[in-house]
Parts: sequence; structure tokens; C-alpha cells
Amino acid sequence: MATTTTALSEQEVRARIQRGRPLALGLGALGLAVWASGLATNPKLALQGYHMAFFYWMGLSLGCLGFALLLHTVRGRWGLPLIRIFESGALLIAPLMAVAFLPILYDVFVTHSIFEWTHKEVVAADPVLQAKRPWLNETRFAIGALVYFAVFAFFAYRLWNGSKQEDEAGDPIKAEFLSRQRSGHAAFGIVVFMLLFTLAMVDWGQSLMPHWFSTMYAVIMIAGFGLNALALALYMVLSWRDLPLYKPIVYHEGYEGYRRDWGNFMFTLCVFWSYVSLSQLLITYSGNLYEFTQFYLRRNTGGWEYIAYIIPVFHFFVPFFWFLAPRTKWIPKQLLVGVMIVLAIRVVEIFWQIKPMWSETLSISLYDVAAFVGLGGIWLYMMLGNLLKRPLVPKNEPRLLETAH
Amino acid sequence: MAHGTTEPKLYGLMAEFETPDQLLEAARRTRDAGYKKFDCYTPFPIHGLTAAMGVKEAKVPWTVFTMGLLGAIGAFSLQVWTSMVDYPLNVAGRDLLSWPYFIPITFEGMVLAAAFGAFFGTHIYNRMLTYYHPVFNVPQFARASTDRFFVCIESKDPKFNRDEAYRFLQSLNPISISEVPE
Repeated sequence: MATTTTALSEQEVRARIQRGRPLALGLGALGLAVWASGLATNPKLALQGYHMAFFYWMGLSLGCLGFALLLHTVRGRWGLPLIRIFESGALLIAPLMAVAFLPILYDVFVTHSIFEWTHKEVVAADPVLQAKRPWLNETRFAIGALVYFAVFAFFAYRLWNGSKQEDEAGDPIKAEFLSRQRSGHAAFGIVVFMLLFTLAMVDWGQSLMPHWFSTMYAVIMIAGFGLNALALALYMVLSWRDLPLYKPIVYHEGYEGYRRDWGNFMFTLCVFWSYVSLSQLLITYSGNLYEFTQFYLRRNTGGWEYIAYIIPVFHFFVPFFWFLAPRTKWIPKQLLVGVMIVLAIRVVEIFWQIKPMWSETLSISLYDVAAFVGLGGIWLYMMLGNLLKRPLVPKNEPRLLETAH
Repeated sequence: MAHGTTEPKLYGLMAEFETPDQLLEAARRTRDAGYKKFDCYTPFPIHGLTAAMGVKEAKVPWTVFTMGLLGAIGAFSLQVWTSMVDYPLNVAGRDLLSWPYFIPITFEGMVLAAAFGAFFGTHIYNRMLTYYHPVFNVPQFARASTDRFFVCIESKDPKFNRDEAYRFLQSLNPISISEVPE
């Protein structure tokens, strides 16, 4: 039975994680050190790079939280091997990402290098930004962030504690009761999560270009970061496919095999991301009003257009055909390659989304990379640490390895 | 038979089984014995049967894929042709090749063509709209839609020999073996 074997066979995976953690921490420390040197020489560029890194890793944490909420709501069998990874990622919203947000808050109030709307003289000369002042002001920004972090963290910890109780319950009937109870909380959580996620994306992403707005923005971001979180979790599980814990899961035979569902979900999210991204472009293109088109004008000139060509190819066409093929969903290694393509293009996509907010021509600074690696290293170090605190797959879960018939 | 003097042509030999597992085993052994033209009849889909029968990759998915691709290319080309060659129209100064506008139609064209591929592909490959099939000449076959499982080796098979096929089917321990008249 799954419940008895997991505790025994986790050792190899745990050893692998233990070996990986110092590497992540080292990279993180190195990245942050380089970034800190940039803070001394070119604080503006360093803070902008830092905001981009924060946006990516916060988005990934929120993608993890979204998936954790979804999986606890629908209690799908396909997510059982991944759910601890999502919970561990979601748990980083607080304290890690909340602490990581402080430099941005400092910049909003003091140095003003990230957000245009924090410049008093710019706003004074601009009636549109004055009209947006009730939302785009420093105090509201800070209070908003406080609320987002508090509520996101509340749900992240609630799910974590709830599933911990279930792991420790021992009694299958009690475990089932706890699982159903959590399903109710999580369903409510999805609604609150999406509302606040939308507002958070307005604050942290859209308001970088304060004249521009798009109702699709948060949808594009949640589709993208959900895909990102799933790709990360699958990357981990598929990389560990030959270790005793995950081997029977990844190679689970039959029509209802896990990797079929995983591949289909990757496919769906890639297509959904493409659908909403194209919708935004199509509506902008039809309307042809400067307040909307400026977003694409910036991203389609000055060298940014080359990235604009790469993204549809690797964020839509390649994954579309890759994950459409039944063979991909049958051969774990091939699935892993698809997942790695998506992980790579996600970074490029966020770079293309955020960096042109400050730069009219294609450019990347050392501090962009340093902040990304720095924050990412710490993120991975802590996420893997959270993962080690618990059994790696749900205990008391008879559905984990049940056969198709 | 209307003409009692002539013996009807033999369509094949059919063996009857009681459980899906027996059928799976029978299908596997029939395939291993080298028979190509044989078919299995079951009341419900049996997991792993196509693999046991040695059926190669299904054709319908590829048909749907090809049709979808052709539909997308066709719909896109149609729009390019109408708006750039046949009747160029300046819409608010936009490019004649305003490809974002073409995407919804391209998508719909793909869905339509792929759906046709699925519908007609299923019909053609499954030889649907067959009004007469010899297997129904065997009275036991009525239970193929309720609780019995059948393997029928057809006489079209190059390896088919009535006595050999009979002995082979017997070795599978079926409940019954019937001759299927054409």
C-alpha cells in the first residue's frame, strides 16, 4: 500500500534535495552579492532588475498557491504527487516574499526608480495620472500590498496546516473528513485569491506603465504563472523519476496514468495563455487607441520585436505540438523536455513583459540577472526546505497508487 | 439459403469466450500465430485489446491532425488571398496583412476541418454504414452485445486453412467454435 511504502522509500529523494539546497543557497548568495554591488554603483538599474526578479518569483509563488487551492478544491488524483511542491512554494509568500518586497516599498517611498507614478513632478504635469491618484498613490500601494500578503499567506498556511493534520491523522476516515473540509475552504480561497491577484498584478505589473491598462493582464499572468508552477513541479518530479518514491508514480501504467494528465494540463495551460494573450493583442489592434497600443509599440520596436517573435514560437507553437502528441505523454523523458522548454520561455516572457516598461531598446543588465538568480536561489533553497519538513507525497491517501481498474 | 445445393462461402471461423481476460489471451495468441485478418467482438471496450491484437497506431488521430492543419492553413490563406489579392481594402490604414484579425477564423477553420476529419475518419476506418455483416449469421453472436466475447479469423487471411484454424481455435479453449457463412 502507498501509505506504508512512501515513508520507507523517500530517503533517496531527500538525499537529492539535501544535495541541491546548498547549491541553490550559494547561487542565491552570489547573485544577491553581485546585485548589492550594483545597488552601490547604479541603484536605479539594480532596483528595476530587482523588481523584475520579485515579479517573477512572487508570480511563481502565487502560481503555486493557485494550484494548491485548485487541487485541494477538486481533490484530483493527478495532483497528489505534486501537491506538496505547490504547498511548499505557496508558503514562501510569507515571510520570504514579504521581506523581499521591502526594497520595492522603500523605492516607492524614497528613491522612485521603479514606478513612474511615484514621481511628484511627473504626476503634477499629467492630468491622467492625477485622476488615477486615488489608486496609484504610495499609501494605498503599501496598504494594498499588506492586504495581499496577509490574505495570500493566510490561505497558504491554512492549506499547509490542514494537509499536515491529514498526514498525521492516521485514521483514514478522519483524513477523508479533513480533506473534504479543506476542499470547502479552498473553494472560497480561489475566489478571494483571483480577486486579490488581479489587484496585485495591477499594482506590481500594470502600473509600471501607468497610462496603459488591460483587463486581460491578470488573466494572462495567472495562466502563465500557473503554467510556470506546474512546469516547476513536473520538472522536479520527472527529474526524480528513477528514484524509488516517484518511479511507480511517474511510470504508472494504464490509460489513467499520471503523465497523461500532466501533459494534458501543460497543453491546456499553454493554449489558455496563448488564447488570452492573443485576445489582448487582437482587442488592442482593433481599438487602435494610443493608451492601449503603447504597450505593444514599446514591445515591437527597438529590438524587443525579436523577443516578441520568439515567445509565440516557444510559448505556443512548440508546446502545442509537443504536448499534443500522445508519445510525449507516454515517455517521461520527452515530457521533461517539454517542461524545460516551457520553464525557459517563461523567464523570457516575463523579461519581455516587464523590462520594456523602463527601456525602449532591447537591453539586459548584469543586475537583472543577478537579482533573478539571487532571489531565485533563496526561493528554491527555502522551497526545498519546506518540502523536507513533510512527507513528500500525501500520506493516508489510498488513491495515490490505485490502479485504473 | 435460397439455393440449397451450393455450399455458402466461408467468411471465417469464430470462437466464443466467457471473460475479457480469455479474449485478451486469445487475441494475443492469434496474433502470435501469424494471423492478420481477424477481429475481436466485445460488449464493451476492453483495455489493452488493440495492443494484444497487434493493431498499429490508430489512424483517426492522424486524420484529425492533418485535417486540422489543412483547415488552419486553408482558412488563413483564404483570408490572405481575399484581403491582399482579390479585394484589397484599406481598413483604417492598417496593413493588408492584418494577421491578428485572421486568427479567430483560422482557428474556426481548423476546428471545422478537424471535426470533419473525426466524423468521416471514424466512419470510413470503422467501415460504418455496413448494412450486412456475416458474423450475424451465427446465432451465438447475439450475445456479443451482452456478455460474450468473440474472436473471428477470416478466410481472407493468407494463412487461413479451415482445419488448421479450427485446431488453433480449439487450443484456445473457447466455449464454442462456429463456422461463419458469407
